[in-house]
Amino acid sequence: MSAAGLRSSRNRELGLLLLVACVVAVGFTSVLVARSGVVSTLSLTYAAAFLGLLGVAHVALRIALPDADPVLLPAAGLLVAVGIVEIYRLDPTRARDQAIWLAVGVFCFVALLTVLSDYRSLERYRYLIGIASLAALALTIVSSYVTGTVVNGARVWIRVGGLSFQPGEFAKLGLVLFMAAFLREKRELLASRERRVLGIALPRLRHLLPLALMGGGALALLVLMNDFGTSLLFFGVFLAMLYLATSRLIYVVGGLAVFVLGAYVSYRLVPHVTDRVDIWLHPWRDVYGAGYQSVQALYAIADGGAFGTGLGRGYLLTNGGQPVVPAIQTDYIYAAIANETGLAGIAALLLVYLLVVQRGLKTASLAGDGFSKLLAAGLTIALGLQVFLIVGGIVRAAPLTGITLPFVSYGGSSLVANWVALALLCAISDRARREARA
Amino acid sequence: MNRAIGHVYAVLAFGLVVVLGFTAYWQLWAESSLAARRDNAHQIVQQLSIKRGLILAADGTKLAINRGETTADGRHVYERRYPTRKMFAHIIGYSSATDGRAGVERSANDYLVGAHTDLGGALQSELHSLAGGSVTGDDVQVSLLPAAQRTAMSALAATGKPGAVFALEPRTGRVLVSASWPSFDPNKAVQGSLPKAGSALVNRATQGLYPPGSSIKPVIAALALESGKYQPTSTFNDPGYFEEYGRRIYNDSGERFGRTNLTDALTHSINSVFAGLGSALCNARARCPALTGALQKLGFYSIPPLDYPTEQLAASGTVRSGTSHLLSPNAPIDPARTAIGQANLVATPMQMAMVAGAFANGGVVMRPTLVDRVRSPSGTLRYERHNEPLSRAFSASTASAVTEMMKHVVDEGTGREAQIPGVQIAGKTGTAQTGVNGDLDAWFIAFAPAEDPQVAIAVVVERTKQYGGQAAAPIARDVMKAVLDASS
Repeated sequence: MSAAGLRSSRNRELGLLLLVACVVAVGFTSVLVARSGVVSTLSLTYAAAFLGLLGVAHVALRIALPDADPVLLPAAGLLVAVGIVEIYRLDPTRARDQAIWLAVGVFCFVALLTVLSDYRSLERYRYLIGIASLAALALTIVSSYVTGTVVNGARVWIRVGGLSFQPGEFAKLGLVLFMAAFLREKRELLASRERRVLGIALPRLRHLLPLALMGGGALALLVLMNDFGTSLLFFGVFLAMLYLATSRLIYVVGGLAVFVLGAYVSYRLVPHVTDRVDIWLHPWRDVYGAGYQSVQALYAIADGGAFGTGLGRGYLLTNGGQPVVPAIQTDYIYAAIANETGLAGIAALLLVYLLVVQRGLKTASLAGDGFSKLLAAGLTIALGLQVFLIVGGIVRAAPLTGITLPFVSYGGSSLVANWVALALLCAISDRARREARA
Repeated sequence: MNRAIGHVYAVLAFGLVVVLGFTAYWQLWAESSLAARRDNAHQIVQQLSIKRGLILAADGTKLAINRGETTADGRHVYERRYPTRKMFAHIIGYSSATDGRAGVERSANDYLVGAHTDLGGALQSELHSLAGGSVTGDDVQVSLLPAAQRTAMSALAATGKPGAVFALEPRTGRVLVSASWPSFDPNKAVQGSLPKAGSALVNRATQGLYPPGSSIKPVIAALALESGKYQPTSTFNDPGYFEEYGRRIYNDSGERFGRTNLTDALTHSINSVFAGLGSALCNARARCPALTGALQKLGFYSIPPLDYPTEQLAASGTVRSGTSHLLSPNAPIDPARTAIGQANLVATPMQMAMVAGAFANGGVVMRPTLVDRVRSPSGTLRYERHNEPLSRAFSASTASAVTEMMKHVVDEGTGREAQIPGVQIAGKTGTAQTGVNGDLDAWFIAFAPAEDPQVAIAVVVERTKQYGGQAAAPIARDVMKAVLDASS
């Protein structure tokens, strides 16, 4: 590998990170000016601290993965920056928490690069990882029933002492890893056309059985956890990875058919799902009740207009400091950003996500082996689909799914898990780019 | 596999474009329709962030002020306060984030929010708001006189009955008093705790439609004089009733005056004479442009052109029996009964004050106005009222002849309760049957001083057992005195 190439990749990354630091400084300055009418060096302090944290990740990349994609880290940093500025504007205490979680995330990022000399060794532990992920989910459900921890109707939290976290965020990574390994191993079998059913060529039933189990598991999660978003996300990632592994559209068509059927049945049978769909279709029917959150979010978004009300100037908190839109720092942070930065800001935000998706899939297409390809694509699809699901739910393109906006929403588990995913993507891209150049 | 990756990329990119498209829809296309929704707190806050102009009475009394507050996130918000509480509730109205706007707060809203301004002013206020300042509206001064308004409100309250007082300056049309009882506290509207509907919310002075009864008789007398067939001294024989359509219209209390003249007939409000005059002026026909045309010139049959919300103004005229549906001036009327202010003729106190004002102003009806002037916070004059004649209802000589007759009403007739020592009053009582429980609507219209009118007034007291001369005339007297005291 050429020293010049190495330098240029990491130097480009550093330049982009400095740009991100500028965004942080400007963001905090806007919020502080709107709040107290003074320009304070405090915003520079925040920007410096932020740059310092990302700098640690950058140096780790320089040492461990010099050829990693130069856009992934700054893009993720920009998303975190937008999120933390908006969270700070809504609730400074929570922004401090989020900064701590960012530090934990960066620590995990660096630790993973250090400990994991070759990510491909993870393939060997696929069943362990798969079972651990399922066990984490099962533990969540059991502990939720035992301790009665139910948030917004969903059983996705585990409380230990004063800490609470969502194992589902990490199980998501584990299951993507497991599927990448499993599908790499079985892809020929799954793509085979050994039997014909109704004129459609299919592999043997015993090869299909694990797939049915995984698909069925996603639906079971819906019922057991009452978590529409996570189950939809699992199912979508599962279908997309299956399609990547086999290149056979029949799995997607069949999967979507099962999904439509399952969605209809759960719409009729699962009250939680019925409510979500009804709110989606008729949010104004019960403006002060069931539709309140959805309608208030739309008001906040519409109020932003083309260029927004300005950071710190939107009406997002009542006089008593209560959020106008419930869950505005977590699931609904998109509404806050849309309000204060307008369509211009939202377009930029979604472009950053598109950029991450593009770099992630580019990494997948560059990667030399099936496991790397499937893993990179799976992680990227999970991120892109999650953005689509939560934003689509807020802007009424789809029923609402209570999941986080990756890297942006307030929430420790989600943020840390995303940094772990980012570390894996960087590791894959480092190897892929080096091999591609060689 | 790379081909499949390309497909997945296309699907994800399409998904992101879709959600961007939906966001754009809400932010660009649906924005205005969402903004118009009442449950939209963002719009409410936008209104609250404007420092509305003050509303001042003619003597500078503050009728609407702002209470500023800084919220937790450093935002300046303003809430309306009405220091005079129930006193000006109907006419000044309220501006509330939750309950909307009414009264002058509504009709003068463009000035009050500073939207009614020239390019330079708009630029200045835009720069000001960019610098983080609040938008400040222009101050609106109305012609209302607090002393007289207070007198009217407490006099109405003292009757224990619903009622209204409307007074204006006859030569200019400036509204001096607009009082309606029962009233409400507009500060409650700001807090959103106003009853959604209720009799207290109705501005009886501008919206209340009552049969005017005998208070319409000066108009009939004027038409009689204008016809050239009658003089104030023309004689009539009063048998105690007038017969029309085979039914008799009796005088009040079965009185019978025998031989009398037009002046005496007005002084003592003799129904038989005026019913007969009405019938004669209309040639006993149901279609009577002579009568309805005169009413039209006085302002009947259309919403008065007051600078006040149209929703809170009612047109006077003949209505379809048993309804409030206003008929056209060409619709058939009952001439004799209309001439004594019954038979589906209804009028607002405001309209009857305009009738009194027409006699006081030599027969010319002036456009009524509430707003005297508007000034920017820095003192620049943005608007100033001017006098505008609406129509000539009667000739000057007719007006002065009827004025003479109306003086008799107060000096020696049914309106004696309205006398003010040292001031010559011209007036006319009215007592209309409501058809319910023998209840009466008591009227008094007047102007003073008769030779140099400063104030024209109409008073109505609803559902009373008393006649206009007893229930309404004393209120008119007190209010007119308050006006004259305030201007001297």
